[in-house]
Amino acid sequence: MIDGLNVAVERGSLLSILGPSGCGKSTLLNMINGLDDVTSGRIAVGGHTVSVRSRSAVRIGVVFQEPRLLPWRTVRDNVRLPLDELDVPRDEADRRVQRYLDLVGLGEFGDYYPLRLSGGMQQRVALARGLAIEPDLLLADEPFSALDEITARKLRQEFTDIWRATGRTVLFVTHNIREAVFLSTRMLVVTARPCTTHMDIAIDVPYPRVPEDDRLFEIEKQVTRDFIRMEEAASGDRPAERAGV
Amino acid sequence: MPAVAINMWQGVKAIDLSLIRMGRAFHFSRSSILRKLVVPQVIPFLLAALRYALGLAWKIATVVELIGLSSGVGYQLGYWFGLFNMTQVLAWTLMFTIVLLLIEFVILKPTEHWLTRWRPSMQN
Repeated sequence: MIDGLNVAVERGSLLSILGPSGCGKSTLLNMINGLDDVTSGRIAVGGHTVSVRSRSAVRIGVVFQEPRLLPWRTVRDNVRLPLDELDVPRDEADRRVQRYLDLVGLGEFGDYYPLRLSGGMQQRVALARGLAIEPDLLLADEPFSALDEITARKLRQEFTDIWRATGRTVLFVTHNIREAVFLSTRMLVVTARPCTTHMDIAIDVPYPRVPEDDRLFEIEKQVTRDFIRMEEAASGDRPAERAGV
Repeated sequence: MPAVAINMWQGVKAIDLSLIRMGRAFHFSRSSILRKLVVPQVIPFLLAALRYALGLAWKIATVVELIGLSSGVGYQLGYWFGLFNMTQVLAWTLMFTIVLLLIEFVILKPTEHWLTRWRPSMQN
């Protein structure tokens, strides 16, 4: 399913992977997270080869498309959940939970139950949960794609701030070109079946970025053009159906 | 208790698998997944099953007393009914009802309310 994907992610960078749906992005994330084994090739995080058996050597945080919080636990207990699993001492865990809730702007909401929060806030809790284990690598699987555009936009902005404040390495999977361009230090465009690197673009626009930056627009335009050409090539010899028809 | 078993079966079928996947993504141990992610999701179904089982058990106990035993509410009901003493029959029925209501409102309802306190209520 995935073939010839050879990427090195620098520590502290924010790499986004942009690909058409069904190109094996979820499989890739599962393999990186040590839930599926690779059939050939090798995945290493921080010098440790990842496989289903050796997965405990590196810490990986995950943010999903949906918040996936436990509705019967308070916000605080939700963020705490993976910390308990790692046997973090009680007061250290308390401190960390509060720190990361503050970081995502929900310091006051620790005692709320998730169902009383809005979708955007729930997703922030999920982000705090992913960060609280202080992971070597944070995997984000289209975390903003289920939110309305205004909320998503605000969260993207905050996401880059938080990422810069914590200095984590982030792997961000998305199918939103603008989002990928806006967020990442480097983006990878992959093709579907087999999943191969199509483009590898470094985005040298300094942070903090504004979504309306012309440089970002230029990159977005270029990537979009290329992406559509790639899709058309993949869908065979049919006459070019322009996007937006 | 096939009804209870069926209820539990439904409960297990209704488990939100995305939460289990979340647990696996964070590398929870099997026992943690069971304790922290599976059991809490089954609890509402367990409560419903328990309530049903309790009602059924009371009914059966009363009928058994009525037919075959020489003490208990069922026996008293049958005895006074045989003597055409409606006052006693109604008194025993009333007492029986009160006991059941007490169990419902003092034990079951508060427990259920506490266990499902995370659900936003209609008012807010």
